[in-house]
Amino acid sequence: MYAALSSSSLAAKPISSFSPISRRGKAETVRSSVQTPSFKSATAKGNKNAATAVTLARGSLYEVLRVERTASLNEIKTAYRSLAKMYHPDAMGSSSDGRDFIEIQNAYATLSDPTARAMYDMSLVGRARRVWARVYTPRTWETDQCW
Amino acid sequence: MAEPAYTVASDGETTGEEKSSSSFPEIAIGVDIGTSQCSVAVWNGSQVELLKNTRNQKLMRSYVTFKDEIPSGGVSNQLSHEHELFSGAAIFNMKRLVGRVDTDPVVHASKNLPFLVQTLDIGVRPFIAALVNNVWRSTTPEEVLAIFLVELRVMAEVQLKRPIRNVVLSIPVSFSRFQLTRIQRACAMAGLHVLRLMPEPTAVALLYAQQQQQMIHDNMGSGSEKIALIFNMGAGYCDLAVTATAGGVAQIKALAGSATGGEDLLQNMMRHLLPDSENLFLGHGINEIKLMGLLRVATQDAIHKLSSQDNVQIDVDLGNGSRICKVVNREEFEEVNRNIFEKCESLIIQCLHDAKVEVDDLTDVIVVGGCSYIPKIRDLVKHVCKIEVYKGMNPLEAAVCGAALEGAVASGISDPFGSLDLLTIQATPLGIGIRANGNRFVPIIPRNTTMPARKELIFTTVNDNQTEVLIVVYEGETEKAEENHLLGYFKIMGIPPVPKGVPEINVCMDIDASNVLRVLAGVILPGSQQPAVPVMEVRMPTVDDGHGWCAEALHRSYGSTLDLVTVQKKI
Repeated sequence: MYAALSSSSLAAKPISSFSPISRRGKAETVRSSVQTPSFKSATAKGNKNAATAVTLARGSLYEVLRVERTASLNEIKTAYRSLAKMYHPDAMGSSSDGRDFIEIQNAYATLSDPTARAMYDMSLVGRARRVWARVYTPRTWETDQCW
Repeated sequence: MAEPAYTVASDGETTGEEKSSSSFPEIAIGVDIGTSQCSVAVWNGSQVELLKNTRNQKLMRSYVTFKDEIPSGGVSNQLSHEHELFSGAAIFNMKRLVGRVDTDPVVHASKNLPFLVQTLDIGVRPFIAALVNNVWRSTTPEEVLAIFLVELRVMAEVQLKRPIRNVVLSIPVSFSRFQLTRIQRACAMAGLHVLRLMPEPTAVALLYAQQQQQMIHDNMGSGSEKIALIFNMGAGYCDLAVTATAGGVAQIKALAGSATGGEDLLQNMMRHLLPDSENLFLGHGINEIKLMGLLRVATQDAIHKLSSQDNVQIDVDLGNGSRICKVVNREEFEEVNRNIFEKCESLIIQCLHDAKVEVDDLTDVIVVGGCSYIPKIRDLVKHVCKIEVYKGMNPLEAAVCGAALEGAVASGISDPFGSLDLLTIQATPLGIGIRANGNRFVPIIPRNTTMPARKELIFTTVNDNQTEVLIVVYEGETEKAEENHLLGYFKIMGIPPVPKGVPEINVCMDIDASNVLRVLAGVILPGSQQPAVPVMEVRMPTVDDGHGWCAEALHRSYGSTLDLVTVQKKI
């Protein structure tokens, strides 16, 4: 799994990992069912940033950076910089706690590194196949019984 | 360890008139308190401007003399002669001493300064004193810094005709978070609020980003990404950064730094000229101080001259019957300081390596700071980077100008011409982690992680039925835990008695937008979704001044009974 290679990527973390930090709802909507115990940290400032967070597309890292899957490295860098100018806490003033920027940063960290990006792309394909497998795999005698 | 509070209320503060006029956001000033010189700059609405003192100086000496009842600093004070600095009454080089304990080699190297730096070598703060009327009057680095910060503030207030509250300060890369708290303390003593603490080369990086934007504006540059190495060496510190710049965004890819500077070059030369000088100065009598001062002035002068000429005649009468009369050439100076230059070279290589940047990728190499005038420094940077040195910056003003730009940007000022459409994406200069796996330092947020940042690692217990674990937080790069900077420690209690390796102890580190570090630790047992004990959340650093012995005391008291090991994640 790509998380093994790109340990710097929070977004790429396996969802089973335990986190003492409240992800404050916004992530839970996507990483739904297996959401691990998250207990609120005293630093959490409530949900007032949720509105800005919603504007960040969840899903693939490409969606976080708002680029195509085929984007070149230059396009990724440009997208990262323009998003940084919008979402970096320095640009947003005191209203930001930096969570959105961390997510952008993590997406950039993976996609700007050719090896990590290749692994991530493979995992996307893998993820799609797994979903496919769960929903549509025809259960035949051989696959169910003979192994 | 109480220290006298030193605050001077701003004169402008009490007049209602000035308060009402400040309806627009207050622009934070940029301050560079260097080991040897300090300066102030501010965004004046269209560009960055350096402020001058009453003697028309933009760069002022960083020192405080205690000869009268009221101490005075280099901003307001006028020295009748350079030697006045070395009478024992003047304290300087405080940036090298602030936040260090008396076991630190940098503190020991400061013992031959012409005032009193006394150590007990047990990990407490050193005793620093100035000689006033044959009395050693004690002071602290924070107090000395605060005194000239007050002078800088008053100078800025007079010129800008408004009260000054907010500052952006440039700081060395190698400063620990504990040292940063000492700088903040000095600012608070001076009635200043620290808006940002910027590693010096990142301030230079911001200035570079602005210059590149300006060139595009003038249709002279291309908008493509530019990678620059910034080498900043002053009297006290050598600091480096690799920055990737485009569209006014300075993205710091790597930082490197060391407490290596002009002061070390000077001390090596002093030792070279008078081999027994250190032992000679141990007594710290009035005559020894005078002798130290004479040697220091002569050596400093010689080093300056060697930047422009091949050899220099040194002729100094030390007054105790000995006289140094010698011609020193540049090769000799370079040989005497070979270890310093090698250190500089290794820092460049390390910084490029950490940034994953090849020499061929570099667009520019920027050399700033007082030591940038030394030919050997320029040569070695050119030699490693294989390109000519960038010419668009004043080496002594770049850092303070960058700090002033950040001051304007962070104060929310915008410029109609887009000159302030800038952003610095900072990285952590040092790794932050905890003591685990025996006596190892296990980083949780590695060096050069983009900030704000949040990372976590999972640990477990080393003993069966271990109900408590000690979380000892360090900052640094060394594998042995105690060789790093101690930031703080706390204990998690009440873990249910289970075999070793069973509890999952999650340690999370969070650096927020204002560079505040929080450490969170929680315990979870297999099969449970809920934490076994309440989560601990601790703001770091928690250590106080004389913290050098704390880690040792913890180790002596608890051994490995409260230890942790990392858990290899199952993929």
